[in-house]
Amino acid sequence: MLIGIAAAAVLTAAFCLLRLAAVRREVRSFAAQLGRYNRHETASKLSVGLSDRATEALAVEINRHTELIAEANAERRRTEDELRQAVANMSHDLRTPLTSISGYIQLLESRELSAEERRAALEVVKKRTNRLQALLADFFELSVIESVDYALKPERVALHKLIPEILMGFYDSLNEKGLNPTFELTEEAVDIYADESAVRRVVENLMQNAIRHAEGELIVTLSRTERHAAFTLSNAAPGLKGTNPELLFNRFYMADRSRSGSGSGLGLSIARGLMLKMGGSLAAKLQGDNLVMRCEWERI
Amino acid sequence: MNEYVLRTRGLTKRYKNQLALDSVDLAIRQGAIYGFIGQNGAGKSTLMKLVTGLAFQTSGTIELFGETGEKELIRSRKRMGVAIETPALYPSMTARENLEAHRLQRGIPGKDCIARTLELVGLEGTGRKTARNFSLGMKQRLALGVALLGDPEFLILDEPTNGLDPMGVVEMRELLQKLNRERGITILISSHILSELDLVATYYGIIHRGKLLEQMTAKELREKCRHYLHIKVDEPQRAAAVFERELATSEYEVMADGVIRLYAHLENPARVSRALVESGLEVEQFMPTGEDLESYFTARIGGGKHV
Amino acid sequence: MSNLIRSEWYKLTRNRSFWLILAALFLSAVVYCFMTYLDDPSDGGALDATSGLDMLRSAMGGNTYIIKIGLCVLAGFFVSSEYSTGTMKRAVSSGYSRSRIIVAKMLVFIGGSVLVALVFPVLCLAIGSLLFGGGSLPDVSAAEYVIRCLGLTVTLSAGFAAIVALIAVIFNDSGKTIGIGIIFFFFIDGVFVMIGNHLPFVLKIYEYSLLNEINHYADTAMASRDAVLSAVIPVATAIVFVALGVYAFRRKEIK
Repeated sequence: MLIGIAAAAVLTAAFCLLRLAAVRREVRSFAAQLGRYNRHETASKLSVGLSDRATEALAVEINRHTELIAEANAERRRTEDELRQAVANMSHDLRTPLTSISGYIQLLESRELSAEERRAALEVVKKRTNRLQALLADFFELSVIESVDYALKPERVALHKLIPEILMGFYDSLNEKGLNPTFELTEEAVDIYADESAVRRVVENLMQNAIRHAEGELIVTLSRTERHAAFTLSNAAPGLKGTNPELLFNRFYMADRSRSGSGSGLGLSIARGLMLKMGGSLAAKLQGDNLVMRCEWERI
Repeated sequence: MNEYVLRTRGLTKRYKNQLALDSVDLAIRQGAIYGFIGQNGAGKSTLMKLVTGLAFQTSGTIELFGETGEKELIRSRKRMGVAIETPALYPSMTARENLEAHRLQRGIPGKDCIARTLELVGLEGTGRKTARNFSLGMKQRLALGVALLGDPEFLILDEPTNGLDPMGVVEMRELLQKLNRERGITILISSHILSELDLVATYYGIIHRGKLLEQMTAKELREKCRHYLHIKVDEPQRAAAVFERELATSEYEVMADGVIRLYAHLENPARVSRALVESGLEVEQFMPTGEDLESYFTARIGGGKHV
Repeated sequence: MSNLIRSEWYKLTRNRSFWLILAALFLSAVVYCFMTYLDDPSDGGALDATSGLDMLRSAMGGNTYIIKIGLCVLAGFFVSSEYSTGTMKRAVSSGYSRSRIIVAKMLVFIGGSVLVALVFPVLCLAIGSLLFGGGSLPDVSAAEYVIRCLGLTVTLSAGFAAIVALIAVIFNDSGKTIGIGIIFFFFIDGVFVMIGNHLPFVLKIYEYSLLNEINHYADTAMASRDAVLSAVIPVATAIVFVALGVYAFRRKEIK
């Protein structure tokens, strides 16, 4: 009996010692692997060599940590690329109007022009200058909106009153474009907590964009669900078929690359920036040939 | 870290009386997608087998992640993910079990990676279906999943698009590009169809009958294919002489209909045309022209009809 | 190494033929015991076991075939099939040395084989003891006999498994492995005896080899020296054949 117990004790002790040695070896192996990783000799993650839950869990967490670092590096690379691209795009956007301005100035300097021609040339220069100004203003606004310190002044906003009022302001330009939109605006109270001028800006930008690009049908709706208020614009946009509508919010994306139109192309980026700042959302979807822009706020 | 992930020097493999690889010097840079092009039996798989340690070279050396020693090579292979030839799967296991067996073998900690990998290759919904009952496309994707398990730094894929439908080929391409871009994985991918790797590979190696004919960047390849001067003159032979003597080049082909393709002096076609006219040749057609990748490849391995 | 063993074990427990063989053995043990139980020896029945130990002894006799044939089948589907499915490529290119890969595979195969070899005798002993009672044997105590039988089953099946595993490592195809393995065991005894008739020392080798030992491993009367030899020689054989497997596998090109 005694011998049995003694033997069992010895066996248990031996097992524990062996186990301890195995765990120590595993930990040493982790250290060696991490060392190689930290010395940039390898980019591979930890692998385990022992069937042990605790050390395996440790390895999982270490690998997650490594992954986070790798992700952060990738993110940094991405933002650097984006910034570089942004600067390149911006200079491209500024170059075209500037080239045209300097061309007209040369024209004005060099030739004997009639008063009529002179006025026309100056008119062009003025228009281009205005465009440059608008572009720069939008760039600036966007950078302000996207900066961390930018704060809105939220208050109670009655969308059911505010939105019809904003839409009224587009009466003329809608007529001019020959658009005959359908309005489906709820009459029930839709109250949200937001910055009124930001809401105004978002709706205006979306309307401007729709008026600029819409062909034929345009449906404007304001609706409420149990928890959300939604403002949507839907218009036919056959030209966008097969593209990712989310690209529209990219600040350097324009369906026509030349940016020859009057807009800076930043209206949608600004609208989205403002919506996010207000805690709402702005999404674009293609439903058949229709482009649907949808703003959502939480109701109060 | 090492600039080259894989380098071979004078790599030769002889099977009995057949030379499968003939002194191949291959170099794959960190972060590259290396498109390895050759017909079936050209030696693509043989090279991959030597690199992965499945077969042994007759002579030459292999350097993986800067290591050449036998032991170090074996250890370096832990950093690779491999899918060679037919999808290597356990037929009576499900997708999940196949990955689990591999996870245990590689000592990859945590089971989360299995679900993530299944999702990555689009097999998350296969449930209890065993690999035996997979379509070839699904098998290919599972084999890719196995290769990707444990986030390798270097991926070796032998004809991974075999058996995939055209949509699948596009998806595979996009996946590989994403892995390369986001995780910086270096990829060696073989195919017998050059155009399949077009837009994916950043480097190309063309192998034919065991010889590495050419190694170049995608840009160089595009330059090479896109440009030659399409020239038709009344006496092609004399034109050939003019090229050799006046322009000191032999980089041209004479086509069956007497049209000459000149691959040199592309930057200065005026000089070419002047040389031709000054030699009293009647130039009927003269235009810079492109060639698609596939015909370039065919031309390269077709024994080179360069005069 | 432990990773490789874990992985191989995982694969073994998901290997269909492994479970099929275990299930078949389980079934045949049950059927065999009940047939013996229902068959009345005094009525001219051929099955004359009257105790658990009797059952064990007759099970041990049948088990020699199970070891030889069953293991060939298992080796074909667990080892050789890795070549044909291409999964061996996965293992070899995974950054482990070839020796470790094949040692892990052979060890797990040997472990699985031992299990397969134990199922039939253990079940027959257990079910037989339930049906007839334990019983006793003339030359040896019950406990000693049971331990010796099962112990030798373990060592001998391990030895045979190593031999089969080597065949499986050499051939690339499950069918070939199974066929050649079975033919090998079918003729090898005869070959040894035939050569032994001319060269006595070959006969001597045969007598001490596990090929001969398996014919006597269920004897009730066994000198302790023989028992020890029957335990040691198969283990030594297993080690030698694993080493041969390593040697063969290290220079094998995986197609």
